[in-house]
This record gives sequence, structure tokens and C-alpha cells, in this order.
Amino acid sequence: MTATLTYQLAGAAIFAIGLVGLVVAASLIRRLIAANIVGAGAFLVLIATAYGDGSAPPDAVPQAMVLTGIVVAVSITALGLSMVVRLHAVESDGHDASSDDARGGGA
Amino acid sequence: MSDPVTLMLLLPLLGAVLCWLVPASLARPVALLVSVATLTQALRVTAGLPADGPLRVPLGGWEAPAGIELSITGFGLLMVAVSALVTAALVVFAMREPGLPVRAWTSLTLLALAAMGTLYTSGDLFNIYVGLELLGVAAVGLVATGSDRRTLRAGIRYLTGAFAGSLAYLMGVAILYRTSGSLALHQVDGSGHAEAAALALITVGLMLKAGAFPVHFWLPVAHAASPASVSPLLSGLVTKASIFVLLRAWVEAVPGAATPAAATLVGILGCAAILWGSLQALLSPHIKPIIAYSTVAQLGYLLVGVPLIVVAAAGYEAATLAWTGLAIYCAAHAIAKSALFLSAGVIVHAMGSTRIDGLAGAAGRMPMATTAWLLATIALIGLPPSLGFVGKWYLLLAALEAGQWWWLLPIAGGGLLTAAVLVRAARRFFTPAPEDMVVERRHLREAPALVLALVAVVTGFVAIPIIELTTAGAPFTAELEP
Repeated sequence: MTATLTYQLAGAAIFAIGLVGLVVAASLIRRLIAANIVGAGAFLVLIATAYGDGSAPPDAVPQAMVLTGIVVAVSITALGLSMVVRLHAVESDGHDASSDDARGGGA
Repeated sequence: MSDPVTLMLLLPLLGAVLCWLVPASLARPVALLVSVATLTQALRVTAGLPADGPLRVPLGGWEAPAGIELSITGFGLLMVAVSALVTAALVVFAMREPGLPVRAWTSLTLLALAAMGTLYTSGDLFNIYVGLELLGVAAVGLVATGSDRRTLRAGIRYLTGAFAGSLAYLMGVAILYRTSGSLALHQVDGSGHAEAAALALITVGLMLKAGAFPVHFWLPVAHAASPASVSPLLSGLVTKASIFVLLRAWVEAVPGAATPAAATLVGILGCAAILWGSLQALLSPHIKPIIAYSTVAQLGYLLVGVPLIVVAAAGYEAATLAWTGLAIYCAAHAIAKSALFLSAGVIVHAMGSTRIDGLAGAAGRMPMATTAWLLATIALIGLPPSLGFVGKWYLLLAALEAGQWWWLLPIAGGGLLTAAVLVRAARRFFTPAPEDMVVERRHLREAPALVLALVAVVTGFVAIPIIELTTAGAPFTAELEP
């Protein structure tokens, strides 16, 4: 109960907020940020899980999972941002910059 | 090093690096060699598969829960072999592809093959998460090799959808670790609310990754907008890997939490997918979106299989039949769908039109590609003697064995919808063409589609060893029988 559960619930809430952002955000960068917030929620739950009830040393396995998860999240964000930059370059010297979000707009 | 399991998983990864080290002109031959070698190793592994459960290989001698274990099933092995086969065909197709960023394409294709190898053989939930992310990054990178605006936009959409999916999966895994203290598929267990929530998160996450209905929003655009040398991999292979993990989560990780009601719900989503995907495909005037939407429909079949493989809902006998049916249907779909996208790629390139109205006369100009299309259609509808038929037959047997006759309707009826969708497009190929039309033919580009389509049909004749392979190592126990 108590601290661990609070952190876990907060993590779940952050996860949910990120998901909502992912669905409603129209801008591609906003959507990438939302995906990172989803990740932050999942990582918080894992870290709280690792802490347990505080009586024993923290479990290292979930911490290692979070570490891997952060590396993955950073790489995916970098890939996404580089694609956004390229899209921007293609669109700004292209002929057709209108109707950008005609097909976008979430789920 | 000569251990076939190690080689099967390591070769594509080494190949992906090697493609950057050799001269660009050698990258494609290297990729071809690597995919054929991976296929050979996968066939070698089949010999060592035990009959009574998955083959467990503790990596580095460290057993679960401390280490990561591979857990190899006949189903997974079949899919590794099929993935390697399709990759080889794809490389042959791309041999003379103009404007292809050769190194990036070969490297990412082999990386995707390596990631799929992990997903089909890993027995560790977190290792699977890493595999999912690796596959996602490779697939998005492949989409982005077509660098026009529409493709990039589709790629970014795919990236965010897949990223959210794998995080939902990770959240589910976190819950399972908290309740059972292990990450190994065969060690996590339980039937409480926490496990049910974990299974729900894992299911939703993997459906997002696979592009299954109703979270398929990114799939049709990404598959249709991708270059011709990428769509077959995405539609035929990448979608299956996530569904495979989903099936294992239901039958192996937390079968106790997989209630009949929840399984039925997934099955109903599958039925809706078949209807919605087919309807969208019937309404689309463009050839690649037609194939992409029919993938949405065919992923529905795999979801319809979920209520039949859950032992608590269907019984042990039916679950075993359904597992075999799903394995064979997955393999048949992977081969036939890739053939379909390859043949569409050739036809669209030669005819210069993506609308099916503009493809009149393709049959006379490109008989090989058209034959490939028709054979792949036979396999996807599930007509005898194709491999698709064998898969559907086992699913039908499973539905009867389980006494759940209502699943016969989507399994059989979906075939009719597939027929309507694919024949509608093929009809145009046979209408007379404008007389002055000249088409440049390239046999090397048409051949892989035909070979794959032939494999999808002909393997139906030699289905017995494939059936035996998929039954071997099935991760079932009769414990939960109702």
C-alpha cells in the first residue's frame, strides 16, 4: 500500500493521459511527445514495482527493463523527429503543402 | 557457433551489418545468401524439436528466471522459415529495382528478419518487447525508404501507433512481473484481476502493433504507400509476428486469465475485421489499398482463432487443432500476401497506374504476374489444394470439435469476401487494353511473385509434414479443460 501504490497509480494515470494525447493530437511532434508521456507512465509503474514495500533492497530486474525502455524510447523519438524534419523539408520545397492533415488526425 | 538455433538467429543480424561493409553492388547478393542460409538453418532446427512442448534453450547457460530462454515451437519455426523464404524472394525482386537505397534497404530488411526470428523463438516477455521495438524501427525505416511526402507521413503515423502499442505491451509485462516475479512465458501464471488486466494490455498493445481491427488506423496507408519492395514484407510478414506473440500470451503466459468471455470478444472483433476490411477493399479504386485492406480482413481470421485456441473455452483437442490451423493459415497468408503485393508492384510499375481501372490488359502483357495474382488469390480464399485451405480446414475442424459452430460462418464466409475483393481487381486485368499500349517486361521482377504464389498453392499437397511440425512443440496443457 502507500507510497508504492501511489506511484503505481500515478504511473497508470500518466500512461492514460499520454494515450489520450496520442489520439487527439493532430501535430506530429505533439504525437511523439504524447508517446513519450505514455512511456514515462509505464516506466514509473515499473520503478515503483522495483521499489516494492521498501523493506528489501529494490529489485534490479524492473530497473534494467526501464533502462532498456528509455534507450528504446530515445531512439524511436530520434527516428520520429528525423522523419518529421525530412517531411518538413520535402513539404517546404514541394508544390503541395495544403491538406496536410487530411489523412492525419489520430485514430 | 555451428548450433543451428544460434545461426538461425544470428545470421540475419550479422548480414544486416555486413550490408554496410561490402560494396553497395554486393549488398543484395549478400542479403540473398543470408536469407537462404537462415531458411536452411531453420529447417535444420526442425529436426531437434521435441514432440511434447517447446524446445527450451537457456542463452549462455543461464536458466529462467535469472536468464533469458528461447522457447521454440513448431509454429514459430515454420514462421521463421517462411519469413526467410519471402525475404529471399523479395531480394530477388529488388535486384534491379531502380532508385532503391540499396544498403539501407537490404540492411533494414535483414534487421526485420532478425527481429522476427526473436519474436518467433523467444520465451522471455521482455526479450519479446525488445524484439517488437526492433521490428517496429526496422519496418518504419523501410517505409521511409520511399521518401515522398505521403510515405513519410504514413511512416510517422505507423511509428507513433507501434510505439504506443509496445508501451501498452510493456505495461502488461510489468504487471505480470509484479504478480509472478518472472518474465519467462512458462513461469508467469495466475488467474486474478491483475493478470486479466495484463492480458488486456498485452492484447491491445499487440493489436496496435499488428494493425488489427479496430486499431488498424495506420495500416492501410502505411502498407499501400510503401515502395513495392517493402509492402510485401510489411503486409505478409511483420503483421504475423505480433499476432504470434498475442496467441502465445493467451495460451501460454496466462491461460488462467484467458476467460471464454474475453476470448469470444476477441473473436467477435475478428468477425468485425473481416467485414470492415473486405468492405473497404471492395470500395477502394486503387490496387494497393485493396490488398492492404484485405490484410485487415485476414488478420481478422487470426483473431477468430483466439476463442478456439483457449483451452478453457474450446477444450484441449479443439485447441490443438486450432493451433495447427492458425500456424498453417499464418504461413499460407504470409506467402500468398507477399506474392500478391509483389505482383501488384510489377503490374503498377509497368502499367503506370495505381487505379484498377487503369490496369486493363495487364493479363495479356504480363502473364506471369497475373498468374501469380490468381494463384495467390486461390491460396488466400482457401480453395483446395492450397496451403490456405489446409489452415482453414483445421480451423473448421476445431470449431466443430469445440461445439462452437458459429465460428464456421466467419471462417467460411470470409473466404467468399476475399474472393469478391481479389477477383474484382483481377477482372480488370482481363479486359481489353488500349491498342497502342507498350509494356516493358522484366522477367526477373515477375518471377519471385510467381514462385511464392506457386509455393502457397503447391505446399498444400505436401501438408502432412507441415501439420506434424506445427503440432510438435505446441505450448498446451489439458489442465484447464472445462
